[in-house]
Amino acid sequence: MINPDVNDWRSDLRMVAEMFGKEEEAEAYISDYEAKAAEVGAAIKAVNGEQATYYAFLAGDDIHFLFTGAAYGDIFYNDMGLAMPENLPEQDSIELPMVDLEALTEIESDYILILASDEQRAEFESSSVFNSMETVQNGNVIWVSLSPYFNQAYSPYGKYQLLDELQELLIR
Amino acid sequence: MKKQVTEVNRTAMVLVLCFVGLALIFLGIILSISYGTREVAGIDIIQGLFAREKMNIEQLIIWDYRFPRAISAVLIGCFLATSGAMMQGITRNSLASPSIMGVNQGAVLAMAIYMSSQAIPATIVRVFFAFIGAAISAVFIFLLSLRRANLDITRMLLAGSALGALFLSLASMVALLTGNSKDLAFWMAGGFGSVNWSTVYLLLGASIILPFALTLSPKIMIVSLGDEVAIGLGEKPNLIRFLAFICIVLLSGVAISVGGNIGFICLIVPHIARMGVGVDYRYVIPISMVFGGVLLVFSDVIARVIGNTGEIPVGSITSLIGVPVLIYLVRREKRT
Repeated sequence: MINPDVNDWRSDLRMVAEMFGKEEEAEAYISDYEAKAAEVGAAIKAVNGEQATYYAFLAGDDIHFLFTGAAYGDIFYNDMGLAMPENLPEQDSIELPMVDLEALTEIESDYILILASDEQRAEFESSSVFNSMETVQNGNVIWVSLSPYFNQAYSPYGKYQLLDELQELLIR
Repeated sequence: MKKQVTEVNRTAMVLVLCFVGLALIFLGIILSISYGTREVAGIDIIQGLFAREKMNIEQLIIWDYRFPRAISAVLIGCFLATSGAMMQGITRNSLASPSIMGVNQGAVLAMAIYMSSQAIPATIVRVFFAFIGAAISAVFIFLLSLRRANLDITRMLLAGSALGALFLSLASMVALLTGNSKDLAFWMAGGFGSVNWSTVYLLLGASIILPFALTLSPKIMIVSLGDEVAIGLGEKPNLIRFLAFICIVLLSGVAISVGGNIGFICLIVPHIARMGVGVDYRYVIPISMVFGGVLLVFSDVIARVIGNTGEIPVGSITSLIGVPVLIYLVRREKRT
């Protein structure tokens, strides 16, 4: 059974593949993805530098959800091998860590990917606190819309499609 | 002579309570500004409040994030409690709150429509939408509860509950069909997530209604004694109810459209006020005004301390405090 308490798309994909007797295709897909993710990660690092740090969050009205261990966090750090900001709050369950704007200002990162609606983006962009963050002043904030970027980062097919896009988005 | 002395005592009591309340509000604002996820040194807190140039990020957090939030909590609490006290006075029902006029439900429906539309994405536009929803709903329910140009409170309760339920189900339908139900649920939980200086100015602007509410309070006192007494004393109960109604819609509409559904303040604060100063609405209304602000600003601080980063909505703290107090009051009223 697919375990709803764990984010593990690989084992979910293998399970579905087993049901349809397509284990080999699934393995090939996973290793293709891994190779491509590593390649994209290397390409990003070649331009932005080995040490550059990245994190992504889903914007809310008051509290924001960090992708530390799931979705973008998983892709950035585990698949692409990008560096994580030192003080990024840890994720110890399927629940994304929640932070407010004050906590965001404490995370020092070279690049930030933000998933937000138009309204939330406008809200952030009019906030003097947000605008005085170093990453923002350096112009290294990447905005993407909530749909499809939220769901996409969780699904096997979506992740694969994201890689090329992330390469374009993260190389500034 | 003796009666005069009691009256003087009562006035003194009210003044003392108001003073204590204002002191508590001041303390609440200080606590609210000092506490947050990011540690800000005392000097930056003071600089944040008074320096207007070359502010660092910590000073900006104080001025543009924590301060508007603290002021909004005070004003929203004050508006909700005042409108609750006025509502209880004009309906002569201690369980009445602005929600029986569909203010909350109208705002929720308007928010659902706003979220599904391509309206301009800005907090102030959203607040405006919610307010219009609240006002339309209240006027509609008010008109439905008129019988031969007289306001019928029973009708208002019936029309209010029925239409309120209808608005809520329409809102969830709209939200589900357009895929916004999660956002709507967050909004309904209430909180100060979207407050900024523009909403503070709106709240400050709306606070010009407070003196009107105070001027109306002796009249509301007379209406709360019953229509016959009021007419006997030469008052026009319908006119007073209508004027109070306008104040209630404006105050609660603005408060809800900025802060969402913050539960129990409208209901509980007037009860607490009555515990202190008795059933006289001349005193219940000003005391509610002050202590509504106190309760909400402290609830917000508690929500943030317990929730660490603010994942606990302030509405759940006000309910957590409000429900036991309400049950206690209901039990106590039975015994006496």
